[in-house]
Amino acid sequence: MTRYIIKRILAMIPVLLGISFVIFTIMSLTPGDPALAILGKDATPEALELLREDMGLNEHFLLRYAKYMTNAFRGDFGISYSTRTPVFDEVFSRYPNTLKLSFFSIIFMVVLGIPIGIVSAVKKYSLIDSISMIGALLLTSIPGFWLGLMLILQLSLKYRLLPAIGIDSWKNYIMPCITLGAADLAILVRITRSNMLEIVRQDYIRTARAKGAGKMRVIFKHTLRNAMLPIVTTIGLCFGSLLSGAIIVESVFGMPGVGTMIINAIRAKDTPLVMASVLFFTIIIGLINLIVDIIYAIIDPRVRSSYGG
Amino acid sequence: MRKKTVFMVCFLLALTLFTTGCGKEKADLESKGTETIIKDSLVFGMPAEVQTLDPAKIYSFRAWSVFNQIYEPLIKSCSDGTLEPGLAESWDISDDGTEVVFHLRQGVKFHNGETMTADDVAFSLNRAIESPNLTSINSAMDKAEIIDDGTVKLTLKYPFSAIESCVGHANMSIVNKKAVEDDPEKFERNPVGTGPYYLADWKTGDKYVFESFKDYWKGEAEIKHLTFKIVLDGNTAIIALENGEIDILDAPPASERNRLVNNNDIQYHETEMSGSFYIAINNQRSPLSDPKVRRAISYGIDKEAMMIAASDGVGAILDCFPAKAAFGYPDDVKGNPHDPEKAKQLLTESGYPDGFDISIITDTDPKYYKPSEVLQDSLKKIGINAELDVVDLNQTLIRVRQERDFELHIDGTSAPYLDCNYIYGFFHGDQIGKGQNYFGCDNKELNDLLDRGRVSQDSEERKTIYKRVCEIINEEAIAIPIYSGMQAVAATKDLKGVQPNPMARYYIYDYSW
Repeated sequence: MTRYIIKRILAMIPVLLGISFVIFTIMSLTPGDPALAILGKDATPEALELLREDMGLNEHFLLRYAKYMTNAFRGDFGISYSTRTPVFDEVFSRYPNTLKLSFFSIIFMVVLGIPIGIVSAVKKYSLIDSISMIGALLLTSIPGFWLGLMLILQLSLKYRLLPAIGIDSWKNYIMPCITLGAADLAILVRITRSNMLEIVRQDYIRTARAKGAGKMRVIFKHTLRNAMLPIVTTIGLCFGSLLSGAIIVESVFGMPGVGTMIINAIRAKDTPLVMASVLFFTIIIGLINLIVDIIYAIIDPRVRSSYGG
Repeated sequence: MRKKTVFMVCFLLALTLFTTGCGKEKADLESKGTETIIKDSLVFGMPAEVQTLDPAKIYSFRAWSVFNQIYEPLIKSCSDGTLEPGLAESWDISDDGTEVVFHLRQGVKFHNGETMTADDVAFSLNRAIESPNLTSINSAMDKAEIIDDGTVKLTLKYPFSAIESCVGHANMSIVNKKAVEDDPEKFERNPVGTGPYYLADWKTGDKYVFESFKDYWKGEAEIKHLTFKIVLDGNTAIIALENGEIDILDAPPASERNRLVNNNDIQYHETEMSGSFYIAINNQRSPLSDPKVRRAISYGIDKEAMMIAASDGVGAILDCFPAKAAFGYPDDVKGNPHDPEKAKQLLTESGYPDGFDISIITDTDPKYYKPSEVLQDSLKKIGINAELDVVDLNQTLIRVRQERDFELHIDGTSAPYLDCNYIYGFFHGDQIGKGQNYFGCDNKELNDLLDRGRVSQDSEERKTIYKRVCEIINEEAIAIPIYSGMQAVAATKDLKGVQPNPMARYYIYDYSW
């Protein structure tokens, strides 16, 4: 198992190299001039040339890429073109907020999604099932920013229960988490329900029932555990979509996360900032996938034995 | 089946109630008894973060609103546009207009406890003069020198009538020399100035926290704790203002203007921006090189429709190119009216009775893209077949400003200081290819007038000069002014002292509860 984990982590290096090269190439080859973005439209050509020279923009892009990667491996991610501050500081002051938001949203999804899915499956075609299925359909159809604004209007402006902006207390995270997690929550409910229903039809469930196992035991021990694999995969995949969905949610709720930073960085052709953010994203997603695989092994003995541990 | 239908109707009804709201109104929630404690904190909502707090490194509206709390320049530009002594008690301008001698205020303290010296002042000015970010205000300045402990001399490259406005700019603020020299990079996030507030904390992307400076030379501010809160989404910002999470909001979205104006708990102020949106024309490219063709376009366009498209109609139609608030703006010069018949006639006279093909370059920002569509439509009505060339912002800047590879383009500019001289760079023949005069206009009479306007010390003469300048711009249709936007500020009703300002000059020091 440990060997497998190490192997997986090492396998991330070529992925990171590949992604970094692609991003760097795109940033370099798309038209645009970071110097112009910094100095503004009224800048004189001399000032622009001076700044380009100063930022090393006149060198060949392969040379710049090589330099960038060498420094990056030493932990120096360069100076942001647009803010002139070290990229590392900029990115790490914001990533925790985005991760916190995504993590809380996952918890919100799991805590609500799986039980609702189970209840829906157990009470198939009942009123509860209908409510949750219609609810799920609505949640997937509602655009995030709209839901966010509606929540703010009601909970913040009308009833004054929760603050609309900022990240100062745990209360600030409630509405963003609901907004961010809503669409994925709906997916999770449906996945849980359909997988539970599929497993329930299996012979071994009938056997368990025939042998006199209690209802709860059948649901949790025999059905849910076997239905868990696709559910865990879905949660892992959702994490990726949550990170990208955070871009909108962060700007609606005025949260200083990484989403808005990336958008601005791309607009300003701020290669160092874009690179560091994307690389970090890649690492996070890679790690999440690894965690999902490890959880597989924990849940399913067949997977565990295939790792040779 | 029926049960299901009934249920679904109920569910949707419940959802509608939730979103449209028919609950308890907020009125009774606010009566928490009479507040006798005077509030001494303020939260200011700003629509974007400022990445550096070093006044020599960034030229932007958002930055100025922060600078005005931390720093002060030698001359203070008040919210109403007048100038008054700032860190300089007085100043003399030499007869030939090329030197300004500043007599400094004594005993002014920096936030780090040091006393302001002539050395700090000369250092700050020279830093601003050398900054590539500040070319729109520092181009006339040559250098600053120390005369004695209390006097600093600023030498100019040429006599410059608008020098006081430039020195009074937030970007020309006085910084602590020692703090900058110790670590210039650290200074960007740890500013040291002489202003009424010092920066206590900066949470990137979230907020700036300021505390009142006890040794401020005018006395400590009434509002002790000041937070500049960054709220990127305009709608959220308005809700935060309405529910009291922020007290004052800079630049609320124009689309929500009516909602704020009609809210009795909110005070809403607006003033014309010190800038203009205009149609930039490449004067060197055929057929636009023919003044008659350009005039035809100026008669063919519908400025009102363009303004409605760009800003929901919030703004004022401009007759002349410079900002209305700028000194020298002629009130009696009118722009060419919307007259498609006259436009067609001019086109026929210039040899294009059937019009021609042309392109309008624009980026996707609705502020420019939408009026570009209106322009396209207006041109079609006078027989000119215009095509929209949509590219991203950066590419627009390169093609228009650097390569001058364009025909028509809707652009905007704001006055760096309130004097018509600021349009020098846009229209003087010498400035072609230097960033601003991308129209490619080189008109001898205009060049002479602009040169005279820049050096003349006689304000009546200067008014006459700029009147003629505006007439020529309109007659030749070098660029066609469209409208100027509104600079708005909204605040809770109880806050006193709020004034709108075309250049984001909010002095929280003057505010009180």
